[in-house]
Amino acid sequence: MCKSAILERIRKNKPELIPLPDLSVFHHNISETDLIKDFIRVSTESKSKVINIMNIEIQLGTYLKEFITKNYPSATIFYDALNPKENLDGIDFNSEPVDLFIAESKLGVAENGCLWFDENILKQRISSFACQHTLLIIDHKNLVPTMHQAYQKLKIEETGYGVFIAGPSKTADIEQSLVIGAQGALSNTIILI
Amino acid sequence: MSTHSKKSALFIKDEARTDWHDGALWKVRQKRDDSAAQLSEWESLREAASQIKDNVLSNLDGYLVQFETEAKKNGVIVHWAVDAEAHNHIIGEILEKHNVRKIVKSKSMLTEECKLNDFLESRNIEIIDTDLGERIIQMRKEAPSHIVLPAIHIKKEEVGELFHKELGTEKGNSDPTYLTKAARTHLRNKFFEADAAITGVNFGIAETGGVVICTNEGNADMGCNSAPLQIHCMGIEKILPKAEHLGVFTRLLARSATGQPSTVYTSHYHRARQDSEMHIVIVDNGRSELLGKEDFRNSLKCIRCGACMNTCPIYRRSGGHSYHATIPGPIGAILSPNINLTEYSDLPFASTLCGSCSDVCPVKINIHEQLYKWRQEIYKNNELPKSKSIPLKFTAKVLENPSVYKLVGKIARSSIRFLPRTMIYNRLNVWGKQRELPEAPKESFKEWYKNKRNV
Repeated sequence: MCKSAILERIRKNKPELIPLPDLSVFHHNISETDLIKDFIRVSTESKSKVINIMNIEIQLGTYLKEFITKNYPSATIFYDALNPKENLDGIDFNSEPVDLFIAESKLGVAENGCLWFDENILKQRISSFACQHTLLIIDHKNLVPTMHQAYQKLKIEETGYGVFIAGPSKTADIEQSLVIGAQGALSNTIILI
Repeated sequence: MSTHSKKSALFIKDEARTDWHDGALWKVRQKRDDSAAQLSEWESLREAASQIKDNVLSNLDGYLVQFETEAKKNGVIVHWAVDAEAHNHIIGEILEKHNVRKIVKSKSMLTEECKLNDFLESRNIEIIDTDLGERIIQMRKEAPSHIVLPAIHIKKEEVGELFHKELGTEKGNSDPTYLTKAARTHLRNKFFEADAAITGVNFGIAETGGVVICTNEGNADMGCNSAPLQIHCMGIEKILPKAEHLGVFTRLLARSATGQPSTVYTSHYHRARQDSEMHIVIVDNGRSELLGKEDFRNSLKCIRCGACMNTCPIYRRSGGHSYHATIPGPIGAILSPNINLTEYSDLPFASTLCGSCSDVCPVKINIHEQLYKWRQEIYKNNELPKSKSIPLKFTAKVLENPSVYKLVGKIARSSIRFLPRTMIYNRLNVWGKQRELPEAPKESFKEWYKNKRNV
């Protein structure tokens, strides 16, 4: 009953059809060098730590192993979405504090540092939020200039849930003082490959 | 005196605090400016956003039906609520069916508008606001004073005291990092205990039937992704036609709100997790009626960024609570009279009509023009207070007749110059309150012009 009443009133009250604007004007030709530069700058400003290993010849797995030992020395429980053999569904975030979330995004946005993760990557939707720290990997070849190109590439409904992540969780709700680590991750590190 | 004036008078009594409030919001406005200036296409983006919303409003019925069809295909359960009461009733029924006792909620101006918390609390259901600012004001039993920064009116020392009492933090500790961590621990437990999560919606996508939610704290996702039941409450005007339109709006929203290039999390929900349910409640509550008012329908374009509040010289110096409405500030002052003209007839006057709100609005709502138009509506509906209607009637008479105008001008000029202060600066002259009237010239412009020409 509510539905037909609402729709009826909208039909009666709406203005004449106005066409949608052309969005092709938001086309950006940016060199790969600038894309990478922008992405690193914006992500850093958004309080992510960015490590650029684009020019280092090392196997990612080997690098990460060393990096994690060095940078997260007290971490014992991992949510490793890079490793297809891990039983990620079995991890219960309620009963144990998971220290580190590790995953690779297949789409990054240079203008705002957003990295896309959907259920195919995440497996458990809550994983990146409930872990104490996040370690995100992005290949520089998967960077696009702006959100326009990101949404052109994406199919947002491909899985039941998808999220752009642009840094560690934060808040400024107490006197506008920026505090890193609100309800989600306490820190965010991005490895650019 | 109007409600807004009375409440503002209370607010500005503490001068230092008023300056602090003013300064804090102006800083957010400046961050917005810096952020906007970094995009050469900023103005084209605003124009595109405005046009997309024009299109949405002109085909809202079609998009809503499409949205529902697609959402249902995704297994989402869609409800329609004609007003606040229906909205609360629907949510009450869903919760009852699932035997829900504990809820976590992320920020939603719509559920504030519908007074959902009061409704659920009266049914003995625990509802916890999980945005830090919202949690603070919930503990203080207050309404938000800003739509993006709900606790902007509260000092850290007050939060420290509140958390000491409510969460057992150290007495006297008001360090924001320490307090935020305490809230994090407190809320983590709430997230995992909750039987249901309720959120607002930033954008609903007609093409895909999904909803998009933007937060910095990650609280909406912590809630929705752990509770077995998720409910999203969405005003009918939140629809966007296609996913590609999110490109325009996600670029504008955070930059306009806080100056960030993006919110930390932009989450897209299309289907429930395994063994859980996803509901969307589509709410009208006066919006379809507003759609029919040509002069005011543009206010339905609002994406709730709060930029108009941060820039408004009145809002910054009177505080959000002075607006005594769910949504304060310039946008609230044009939305609220549509809900109740008598109750909110003071709000369109809480403005200098400087137009700064319209200048910063990411979807180009003509806010200051609508404020002016509401004043006319209020006059037509005889809702003006006597302090305004009598002087207006008098002024009209004076302006109607050139010789009366000349005479009154003369009297006014000499009154200001020669009458004793107590005759001018008293209760009857609101223009002489807390300010000096300008020095009166000896002659009118007409007299001056005549004299000049004769020289």
